Amino acid sequence: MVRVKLVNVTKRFGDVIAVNNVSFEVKEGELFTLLGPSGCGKTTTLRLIAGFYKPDSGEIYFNDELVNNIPPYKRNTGMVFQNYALWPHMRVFDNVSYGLKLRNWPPRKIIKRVKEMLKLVGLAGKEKRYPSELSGGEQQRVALARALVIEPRVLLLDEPLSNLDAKLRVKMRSEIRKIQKKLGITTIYVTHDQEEALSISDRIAVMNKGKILQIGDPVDIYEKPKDIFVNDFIGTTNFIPARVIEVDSKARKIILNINDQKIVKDYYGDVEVGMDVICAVRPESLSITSLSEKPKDKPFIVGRIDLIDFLGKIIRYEIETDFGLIRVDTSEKSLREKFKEGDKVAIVIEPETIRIFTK
Amino acid sequence: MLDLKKAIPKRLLEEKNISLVASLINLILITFIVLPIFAILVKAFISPRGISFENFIIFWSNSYYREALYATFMAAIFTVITTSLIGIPLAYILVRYDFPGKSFFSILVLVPLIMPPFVGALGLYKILGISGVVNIILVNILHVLDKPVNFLYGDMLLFALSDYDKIYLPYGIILINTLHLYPLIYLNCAASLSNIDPSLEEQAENLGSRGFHLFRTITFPLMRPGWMAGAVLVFIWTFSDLGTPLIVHYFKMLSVIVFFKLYEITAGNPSPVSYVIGFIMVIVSFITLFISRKYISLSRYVMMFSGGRHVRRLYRPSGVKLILVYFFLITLSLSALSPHIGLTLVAFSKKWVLTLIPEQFTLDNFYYVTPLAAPFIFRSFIYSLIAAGIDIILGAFIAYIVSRKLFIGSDLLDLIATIPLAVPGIIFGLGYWALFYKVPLLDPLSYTPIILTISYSMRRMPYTVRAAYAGLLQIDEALEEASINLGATRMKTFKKITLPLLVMNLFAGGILSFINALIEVSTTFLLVVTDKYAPTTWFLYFRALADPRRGLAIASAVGFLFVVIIAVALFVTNKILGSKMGSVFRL
Repeated sequence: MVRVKLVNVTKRFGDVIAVNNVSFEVKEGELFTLLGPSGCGKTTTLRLIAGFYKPDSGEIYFNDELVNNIPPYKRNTGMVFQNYALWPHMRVFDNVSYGLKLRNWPPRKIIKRVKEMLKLVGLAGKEKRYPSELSGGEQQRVALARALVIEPRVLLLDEPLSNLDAKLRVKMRSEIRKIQKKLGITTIYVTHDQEEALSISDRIAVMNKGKILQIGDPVDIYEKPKDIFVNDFIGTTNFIPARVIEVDSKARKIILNINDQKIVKDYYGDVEVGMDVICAVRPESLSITSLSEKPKDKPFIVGRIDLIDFLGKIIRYEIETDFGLIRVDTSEKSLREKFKEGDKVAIVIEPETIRIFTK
Repeated sequence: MLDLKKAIPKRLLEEKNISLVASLINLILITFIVLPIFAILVKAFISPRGISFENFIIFWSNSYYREALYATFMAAIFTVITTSLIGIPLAYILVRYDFPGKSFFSILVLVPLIMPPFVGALGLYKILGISGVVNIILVNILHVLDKPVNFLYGDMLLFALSDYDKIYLPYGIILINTLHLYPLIYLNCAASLSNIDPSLEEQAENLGSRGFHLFRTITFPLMRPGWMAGAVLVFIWTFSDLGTPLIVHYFKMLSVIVFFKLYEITAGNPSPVSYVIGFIMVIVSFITLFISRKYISLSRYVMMFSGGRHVRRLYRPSGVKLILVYFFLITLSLSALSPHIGLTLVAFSKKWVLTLIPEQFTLDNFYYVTPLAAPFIFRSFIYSLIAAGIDIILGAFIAYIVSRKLFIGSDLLDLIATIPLAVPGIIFGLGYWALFYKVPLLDPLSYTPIILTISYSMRRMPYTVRAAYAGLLQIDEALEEASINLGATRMKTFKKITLPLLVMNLFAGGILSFINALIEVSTTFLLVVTDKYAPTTWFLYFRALADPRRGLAIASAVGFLFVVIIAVALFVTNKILGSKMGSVFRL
């Protein structure tokens, strides 16, 4: 079991800074996710940990051991590649036992161990198959078994589910999480899928343009994004412009003008009177009413329903307003009969659900 | 024969024209590729006393034939080994290593391709021959050897099965073929190697593998298809090559026996032994082809890229490793260039006896030989141009039918069109004698130009098929479907949409067909009987080299002209095909 620590790690490819001064620490047995859009540096970070790249500056530690100069074949990490990287010329057994043979395990122990591992990932009895004879999900399990069988110090997963269909993806991610918890292995997971990250992780680091923007547990990341990018990247967010009209630094309160209505918010950052800010608000925090029914004490925005999208559990309204398209989610089925596309409605904002970002 | 009309599914009957063309092409290919091979296989069993194994018994009871059989196998097997020992490391170095001068060496190591092997053998006369530069250095300068050794001609006893069954290793043949054929292994391996998904090797490193273990367990198994494809080409080539043994006067080879026995056929007295040897060659070729079939078919050209990152694995060697890389590449390039150097020096030399380089240079050889060779060169161009034209037409249709699966027999067509890659020229020559002797318009004796041109076009058709196929893979089928959707027939679509997009590929493939027809030795030597219809290769061997006064010099001059023509043609092709060039030399 191992802690993984990155201290001020930077990696350049030519003029491009792929990983920019990244620091984080993954605790023992933790499932830590690097989340971000493609090209954000998350896979590069993972490959730095695996040892396929050397950092240009900064240090990588496994526990207290500096591993910067340890080549990949001596790091004892178990990596699962995005495309599984199963060797097409080897059967499942040979794929999985490869690492054990390199570690000079006796053949009898190898057979036993591979069997156990295949059972763990739900592939018992498929030892003799070639990768091409397996389904996508099964290939994924082989790749996982192959990485886990060597009892690696860290498990590294590079977008392991991105080649699976939506249903299987959900199933596999909970299986990966269960296996990871059962073995208690320190795991670093790379994905661009925020839903996957929120569901599987103990903690998440959100990355963009080579930098880490926020590290936190999934609930924090979702509910208290520190950054406008994080807010936008995680879940769906409406951005509504506002202006600061009063700052009460003693009471740590500010008054904002949204759509010519005043709201009071706690705020601790540096804002000044007259500053333009952006209010981020999740679709599920908004509600809609008819123009006549709108509450007097809450700010609202008037718009016309552009699209009603029935998504199963919820209904999403896309509403055209002066501030652009605003999305509102509701699970109230009764609203379905009440409003039609083209109707004029009021979008009601709950001030406490607003998060404020400066531009 | 297959009933082709029945083989066409109903919905395609509407496309009558395309079916008609497909049937016609199948008919042509069956007549000129499949049937001649059948004829050999059948005739091997026909003796004056009916159908029997008598011919095989005659062959087997002659110890000279047996020794030729062993020697031919040894030549082929050992050439595969030697070319692999060069080609595999070469591919690894040039694909995986990055070092100054890499692109220069990448071109230099391909120079053997611009020289027909029998011309290369000619070029080596004065390098490795009995009075060659190497002997002069070893005997007269370094005094390592007492007397000169002919490195080109000769063999050594490997082991004796009995007094009459001795297995010889024809090292001269192996040496020449190695120098000429290693690029085939290199190109095929390099293609495979650069297609390996890097994550497959990274995964192995991640699990603790490295160095030679990584190469042995992951890298080589993944590039094996490429290596096998190259090895098949090298094996069949060496097994059936006629030009090189003739040039170095090593006659204990199956191909040479067939060639010498030919006069019995033309005398109206077909030699059963030729057909037995033909039978052996066909079987050996087909076994090799069958074993590697899955690596050879056209559809293999679809690259196997799986999703994921493609960061090329590239190392910068340093220190001793870098020195070794340069040593390997420089030695190889010099060896690969030596036939060219030898040929050029001889072609321009006035007199070259027992010196390191000629004492005097002259253009006399060219002045002397050009008027003599002119009619032969002219005929060569005519035959080769017509053959290349036929290949372009056939190649376009075959590739189109195969790639778009328009015809129920398209897989069969693919297979038949691949056969010429594996079946030696000797077989074509012998098969045409067996099948078309005394047939009007096709008889090799009286209608040499016709049957020779047909043999050239059949032999080299894979070049245009492949070039066209590579092009077709890059043309989105939707372009054609859009045209069909607007009401054009398949045929019209092919003419108006597909063909214009393919022109460059077809042209490039046609040039390669042309070059190879120009330098074709085995079918030429088998099918041409008099110099009335003979092309240049025939002239080079039977007239120029046979000149008692300065045979070597004028033959080298003709060879030099060959090399210049090929170099120019390849340069043009390269300009057209660009990076796809290599694919034409691969299986």
